[in-house]
Amino acid sequence: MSTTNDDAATGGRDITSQASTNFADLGKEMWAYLTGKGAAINYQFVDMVVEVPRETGPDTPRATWRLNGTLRITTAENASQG
Amino acid sequence: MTPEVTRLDVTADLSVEVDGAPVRVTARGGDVEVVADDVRGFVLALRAAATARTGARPGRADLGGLAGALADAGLTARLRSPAQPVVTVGAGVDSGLGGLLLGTRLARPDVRGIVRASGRARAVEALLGTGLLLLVAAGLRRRLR
Repeated sequence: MSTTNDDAATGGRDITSQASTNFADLGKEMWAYLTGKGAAINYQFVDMVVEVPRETGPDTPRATWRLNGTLRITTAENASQG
Repeated sequence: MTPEVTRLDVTADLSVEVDGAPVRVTARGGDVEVVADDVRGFVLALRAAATARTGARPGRADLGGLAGALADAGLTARLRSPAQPVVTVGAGVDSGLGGLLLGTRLARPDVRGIVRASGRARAVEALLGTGLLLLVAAGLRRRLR
């Protein structure tokens, strides 16, 4: 997977370099980071594979999620800025 | 104090496979569309992922929370099969049926789509077909008398 993010508010702070314990934390961090800021986050997923446990427990079977494509999130007031 | 609400603009063109079953996610502005070949399988996979993360099965309150978060962000998400819509959630949705069936008026279910997605469509269609045959048979019987 490759990810990129552009931050118009702070000039390129790289949120992926911060310690995120899991994907959900990263999502929360992204959400909080976008709030009220002129930010844009661009993700490009290239054959990203995530194995998701179907139940709780150490040896549970896993579902395989595979992602390809692009995702861009901006605050609405900055959407037209590209 | 009223929490600050930020509207989000999303652009997406994603191909997702869940255990090989294709799901397409596209978004433009505040509209997010999720098209799953196997809607039931996709929803079950989402529930399993949420359960594994939190240790508790997501319920109506969680769906309400998700719908509220989407609405606050100005986003409307549509889950559909290739043939028809299943449910619309988020901004601009106000559905009495959603309140009744899903516990939130911010979700608008499409009953026909849900029945089809749940895999019961064939059984329902078979039942309707049988009923239709019985009606035709009854009509023919009356004519022959």
